[in-house]
Amino acid sequence: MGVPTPFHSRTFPLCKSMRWREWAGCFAPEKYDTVHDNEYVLFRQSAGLFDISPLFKYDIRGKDAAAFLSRVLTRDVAKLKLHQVAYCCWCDEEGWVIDDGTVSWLGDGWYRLTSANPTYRWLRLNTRGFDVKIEDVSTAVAALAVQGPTSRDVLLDSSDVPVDALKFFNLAHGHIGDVPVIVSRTGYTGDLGYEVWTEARHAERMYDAILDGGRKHLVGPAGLLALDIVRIEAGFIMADVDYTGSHHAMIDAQRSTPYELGLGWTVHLDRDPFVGQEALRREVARGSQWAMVGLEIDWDELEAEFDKHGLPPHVSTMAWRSMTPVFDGVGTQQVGRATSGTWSPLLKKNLALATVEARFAEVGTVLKIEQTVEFERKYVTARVVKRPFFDPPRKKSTPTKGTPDKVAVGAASS
Amino acid sequence: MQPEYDVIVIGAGHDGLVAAATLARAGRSVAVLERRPQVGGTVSTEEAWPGFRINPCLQTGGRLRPSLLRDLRLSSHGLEYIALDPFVFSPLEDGRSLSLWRATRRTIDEIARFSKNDAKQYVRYLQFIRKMTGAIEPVLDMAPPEESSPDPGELMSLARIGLNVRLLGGEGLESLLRLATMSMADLLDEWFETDLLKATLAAPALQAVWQGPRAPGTAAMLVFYHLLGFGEAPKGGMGAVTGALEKACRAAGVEIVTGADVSEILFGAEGATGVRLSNGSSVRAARVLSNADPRETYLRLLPARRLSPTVAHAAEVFRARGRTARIHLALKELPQVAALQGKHFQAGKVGDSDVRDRLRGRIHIGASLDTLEKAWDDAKFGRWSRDPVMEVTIPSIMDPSLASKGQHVMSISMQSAPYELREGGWGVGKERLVEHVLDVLGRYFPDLKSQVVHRKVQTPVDLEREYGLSGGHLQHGDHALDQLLFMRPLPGTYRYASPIDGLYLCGAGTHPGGGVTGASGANAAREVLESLEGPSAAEKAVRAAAKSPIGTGLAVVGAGLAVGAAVRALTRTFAPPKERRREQNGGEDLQV
Repeated sequence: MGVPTPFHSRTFPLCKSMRWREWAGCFAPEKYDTVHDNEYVLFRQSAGLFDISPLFKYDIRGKDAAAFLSRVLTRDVAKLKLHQVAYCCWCDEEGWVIDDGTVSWLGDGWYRLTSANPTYRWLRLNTRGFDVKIEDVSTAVAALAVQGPTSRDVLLDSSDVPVDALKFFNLAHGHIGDVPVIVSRTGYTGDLGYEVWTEARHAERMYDAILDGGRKHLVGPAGLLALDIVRIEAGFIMADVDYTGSHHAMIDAQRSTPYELGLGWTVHLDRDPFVGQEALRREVARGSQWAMVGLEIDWDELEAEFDKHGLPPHVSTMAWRSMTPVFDGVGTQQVGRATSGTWSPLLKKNLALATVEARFAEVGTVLKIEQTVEFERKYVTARVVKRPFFDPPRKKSTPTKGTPDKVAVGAASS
Repeated sequence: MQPEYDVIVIGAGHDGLVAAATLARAGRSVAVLERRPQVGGTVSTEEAWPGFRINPCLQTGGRLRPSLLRDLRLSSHGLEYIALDPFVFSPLEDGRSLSLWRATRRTIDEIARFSKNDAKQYVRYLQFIRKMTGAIEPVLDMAPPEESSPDPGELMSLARIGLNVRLLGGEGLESLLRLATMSMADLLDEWFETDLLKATLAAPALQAVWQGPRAPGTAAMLVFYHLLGFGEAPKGGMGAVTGALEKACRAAGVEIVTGADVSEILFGAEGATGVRLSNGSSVRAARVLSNADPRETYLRLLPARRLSPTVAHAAEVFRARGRTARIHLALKELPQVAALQGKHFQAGKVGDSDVRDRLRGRIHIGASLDTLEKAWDDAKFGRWSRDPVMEVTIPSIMDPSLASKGQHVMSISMQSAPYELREGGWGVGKERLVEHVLDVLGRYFPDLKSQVVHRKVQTPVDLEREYGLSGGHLQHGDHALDQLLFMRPLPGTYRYASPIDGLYLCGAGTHPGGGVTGASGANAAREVLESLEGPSAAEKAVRAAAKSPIGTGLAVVGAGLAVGAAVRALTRTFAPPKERRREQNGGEDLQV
């Protein structure tokens, strides 16, 4: 199975459930406690600590670093400001998405790219004509996500970084204790949150400092199961779950373009040539075939199906990620598939992410989704709704200390 | 902006000229841009010293395809091939020697002095090679189709080859399959026992191969070499080929510009639009056809930051590792030949003309397959060999105009001089190489050193610089099964096209490879023409026929027969060995 991350000596004793999963070759806790609900509540009510060290990380240095990244990514990295982070994806020559991640401008001629899958070879293949050096720092750099409404206070108390002034998708260099860190105002939870990056050798001291400093702000470790719920609430897609990277797909029908994934906003089309540009131009001219949408599955209909069997309604407390057919409004023709979904404890809604034919993508479109109730296939109404499902103002706001956002919304505030 | 030409051809090598002439004769406006001051590329004859003209790069080559000789009226433009007889002369240090003549009877007599068995086998061997090459020869004249979707015309050609292969019969087919995987040395060991004979047959087939005779797959390269048809030389030196092609080009209205150094192929979203020259000017054309080698075309002439990473990688791993150094000598007079003096020379009384006659073809230096393998080992490990395998020619014997009266030029292809030297580099190694080569040749030509009036050496690095040959590879890239047929130049490119619309490649780096047959140029020109004006009438007829039930039926039957035979041969190959039937000796005169 996997290898331990740099935080393993700290996460291992905390993981009472002993439930580990392999993530990018590393041991990653699914949940620390016997149930994951509390960890979900940490993310949404206080602050969850989530070990993101398994992410693949590449440092790109050299005088052509920005030009090189602009060539590989669909984003124009030249537009990035120093200490800015950008969400991005990259394509093959046919415009199919290979992977997605973030790109950060860390310092003079120094960028960092994160990815879900190993990407060194692809980056290396693209270096012809560029003065750049690529270093795989996946194991050399440890990273911890501190996510949730109190995350700002956690870091204000444990670091010297003025995180209250740190803008959404910006980063700052600083220290936690005596450990040099980079703090970025980024995350995968759709909430107020930060990601803290350091050298692997400092990982344990950093973890201790954040946990100690944040205790009074109710910080605690959270695992993959809780993360999967919050990321769907946030409407974030996941590589190899909601789409198949071009290098892993067997046929084109399994591949997706940025536009089809709803990542069109990360594509800067009219600029110097980049990989996939021609194909993406053709797609823009032609129109996309598919679209990624958010679905809200009709609760009353689902409940009625259970009721027919004399059962109370039941949905898993965990997010699911099995391909599920989606049909048109009358349930006769399949128009796509849902790729992951969850019951949202906060929104009290049954949510799914789906890829449907572009003509069915408009918000408000009524579709049907296959649901199995007591071993029988049923077709339950699912409406196309706006993504993200959960989008609190604190996600992007730059609060100052002492004026916290409203901690919760809706029914979850009890 | 309107294109200035229908087609720009980059490089005036023989394939570029063949393509240009073919396109111009089809009514297209064509310009050929050549960086060097003269046309020809590696197929040239140049004055090296006053009064001495040499073949700087290739000194032997195949014959241009018969259809080219006919269509381009090359004989009326002065091209004439002379049969080399003997086509090879192989001396040994001990004074013995072996000549292979066009008249098989005479060759048999020579071989019999080494081995009576080999003398008998030789005729059968020639028949065997002829049978194999005959079956696959149509491959030369077809463009590599897209494996997954050949068009109907291509299916017909493939079916024809399939049928040819089927007609070889079980034994023949079995042999083809064995050839594809076995080593040249193993094959020759099966046929012959005489070391010198085996080495003589093997050496020329290794010139474009970055392998030794004992490497698997080299047997196929031996057949491939024979397919190209050697054994003749153009009268007036290799340059006579490109000279005649130049005339054919001009007669057809091709504009040839020498001293025009293309620095970049221009392309936009709509495909290739022309070229930029190193003087900054640019020329627009509807199609660009590159006679430069694949690595040069993809990695130097196309902007690195815009080329698809997958294509660039494929070009980067295309192997072009030259291992041949060229050494040229101007000689006061013909050197003495140790093997043609004294007791070992048993072919009768030796006069000056006999000596001269023996040296008309290639002179092979390399006593055995072991010599070849060891010389290769040196090259493989980054050393030039101290016991080198060499192909020597003295073209002034056949064509006295190449040197002042009575004087001669000798050119040596030293086969084990790698592009990259592990130690020292070529700057210092070059002179030592020449001295050593002269010492070695002195064992065969005792007074050679005293005859030398001028000398010149070109290492693979020099060849790369002077002729734009990646890796100094005279055939634009290693010949190996994974770099031939539809995988030449790159897997994933077909029909001489590139991933950039309107950019095509011809030359030795494309199918069918090196060998001065002009097939690359002719095939590529056909594809360019088709892209400009759609399929030709003949092509359309073939396609229509292929679409008709009968045509499809024929193609399917041909393919079916080939597959069936392949399966049968495979089962036979892996069945227990049994007595192998051999073809009976036909006895007529044969040439290799």
